[in-house]
Amino acid sequence: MQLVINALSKTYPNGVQAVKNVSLTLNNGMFGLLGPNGAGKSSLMRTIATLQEADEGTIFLDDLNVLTQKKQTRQLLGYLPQEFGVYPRISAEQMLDHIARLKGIGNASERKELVDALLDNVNLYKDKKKRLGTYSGGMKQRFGIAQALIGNPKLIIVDEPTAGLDPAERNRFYNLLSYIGENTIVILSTHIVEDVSTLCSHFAIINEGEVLYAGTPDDALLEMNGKVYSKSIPKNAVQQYKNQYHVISTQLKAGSLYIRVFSKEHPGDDFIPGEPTLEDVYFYHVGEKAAINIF
Amino acid sequence: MKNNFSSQVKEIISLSREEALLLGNDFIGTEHLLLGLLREGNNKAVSALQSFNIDLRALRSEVEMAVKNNNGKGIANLIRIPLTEEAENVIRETVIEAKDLKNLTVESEHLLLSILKNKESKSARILHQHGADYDLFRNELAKEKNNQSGSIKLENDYPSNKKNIHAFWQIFLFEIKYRLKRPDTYLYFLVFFSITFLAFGFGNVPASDKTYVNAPIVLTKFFTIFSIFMMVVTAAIMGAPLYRDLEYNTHEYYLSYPITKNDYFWGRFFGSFFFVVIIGSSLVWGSLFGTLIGPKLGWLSANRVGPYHIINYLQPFLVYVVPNLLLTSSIFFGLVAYTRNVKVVYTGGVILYLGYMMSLFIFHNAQNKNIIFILDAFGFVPINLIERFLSPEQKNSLLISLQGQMLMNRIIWSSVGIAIILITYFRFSFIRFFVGRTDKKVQRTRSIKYLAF
Repeated sequence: MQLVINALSKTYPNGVQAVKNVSLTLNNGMFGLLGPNGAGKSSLMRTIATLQEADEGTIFLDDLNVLTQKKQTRQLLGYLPQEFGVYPRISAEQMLDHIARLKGIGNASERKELVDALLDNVNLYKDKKKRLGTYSGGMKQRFGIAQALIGNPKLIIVDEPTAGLDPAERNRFYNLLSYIGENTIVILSTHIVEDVSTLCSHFAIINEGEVLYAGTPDDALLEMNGKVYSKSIPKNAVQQYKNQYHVISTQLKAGSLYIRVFSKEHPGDDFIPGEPTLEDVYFYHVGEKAAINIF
Repeated sequence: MKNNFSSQVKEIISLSREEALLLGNDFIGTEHLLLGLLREGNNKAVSALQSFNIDLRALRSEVEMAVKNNNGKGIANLIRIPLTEEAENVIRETVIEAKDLKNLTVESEHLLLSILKNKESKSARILHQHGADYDLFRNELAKEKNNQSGSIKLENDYPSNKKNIHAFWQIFLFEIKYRLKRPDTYLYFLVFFSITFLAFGFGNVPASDKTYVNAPIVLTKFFTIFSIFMMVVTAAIMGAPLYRDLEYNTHEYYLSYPITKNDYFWGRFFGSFFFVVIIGSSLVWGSLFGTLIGPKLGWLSANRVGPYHIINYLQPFLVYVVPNLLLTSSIFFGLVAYTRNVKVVYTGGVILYLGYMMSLFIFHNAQNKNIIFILDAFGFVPINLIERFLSPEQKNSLLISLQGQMLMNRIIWSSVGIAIILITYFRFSFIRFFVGRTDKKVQRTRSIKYLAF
């Protein structure tokens, strides 16, 4: 399956343009949407998930027009929102059964098997009869992914799924997601660069509603190869350096301030060439846009 | 028993011993078993840890830190270092793990499982911190045993002939199941049943001495007035369904399911209205059992109870109770749909109730009775007016016939109830209700209002 987004735009009634002319093509596998808070990732995902309308542009899932054929799209869709609640008095098993019915799985024994398998896969089998109101944050997230997976979706949209999970749970979540990614299109949005480098075969950087970069992590790093330099500088000299060089990021390491700059040639002056990281790619693209906005 | 340990596991155990020596320990603990696993490297347990994205080097150093220099004394006996009790248990467990998974030989992964199983041990804790999980790992192994690939069992195991079960029924049934779980549902039923039961049981009803306690007119009056009191119940039950999705924030994913506005709106409405009607029926059951049991308990003399005719109960229920409940249900459901706020239902309920009572008072002595017949939404005063013209025999046997002005009243107010819910339905939009963004037209009218000040 292929998801083709073409020139998508969305402006909210209060005037904020959340999605600006976004075009992307996604194939099977994990696709990361990387961007700061408020970049428009959620808006984009909600539009793809048929939860809101777009003002311009098209989205096609193979031959299916996502924007106009919402009900058919929803049959193939699984969505895990950034924030969601649960009915506290219903058990996970009952809720998943209800959702499975809504998603069209009629046969009762088929449904039971499916729900049991899903609960097993997200490690909630032993808690399946407990009420959702008693679930911890990590358990709720896992329930969230289970409900998104019902009905064998071809397109899975996961919005900032690891926010609020502890490292062990995050790890488990990643493992689960990477199994899924093999035969489906999984769109994962995050502001954590590590999520993308760990999981995604392709990614896009989004800020202020625009796609700043789209490609694979390897290609992105290759482009930056030999162009990233770092230097330790006194803390009060930051502005000076920012005026002179293209500073991508500043970091504290063991109490000293390091800057990383982008330069096509060696800038000399005690700069050390650095191995580009995906964070450099991120800051480079996001920062560049911000710099342009100043003028 | 040690016969079915694979040679790899035996190697791992001897490596654990070496690890212990290297670290200057004079015991072999679970930590050393884990180090032995890591050291051997070419085993399934290590591959599993790698597939969990665990940094093996970090793991090793943390485990080493945990056992290093645990004892001050030098290594006295190089030949036989004992296993700690914990380590012995782990090795014993390993055999059990293998049996559980129906493996013939004990392998490295069983060893890892049993290390993970004893959650108290240092090794298990360290592993857990890195994200290794007994359950997850075991599931993996169980799956592989069942000859399934690592992917989730969602693939075309299930035929895609998704029967199009009408989502409406699913939502309707869900609403019913939800209601059944709530204690207040039973409470409402019980309260109205009890009041009605006791009232009729003791003959505490608006009936003079010459009238039967279960005369049609008495039933009609009682049912109608209590259908008005039931406003409280209607408000509570009908205010909940739409608001529930807002309050619990479930709309975020609910709306990505293949359901339409029809399914959702009517499923929620009828699912809850069904219960409102059931609670309304408590009046019928209460009055019936009251007059049946009252005389038997000596609360009521038997001559006050007239012949039973189903129609005497059914007609008032269908003509007064149900339309009255429909009217208030539509109003409250509509209020929540429009204001997206459940508190307004309670204020609305109070206002409606007071409003009705006040209008009764105001039109109490109106000369033109026609106004009363048309304006009384619940039919209470018209019933009383008609009663004045009935003789005692008529009161005992005749239902208020549905004709003339009474018929007009019922038609008007049933239509109002239906109209309100239909208008609410047409105005309702998923996006507007859940996302809450007012459309541009409303925004413009609002801003004009502000300018006018």
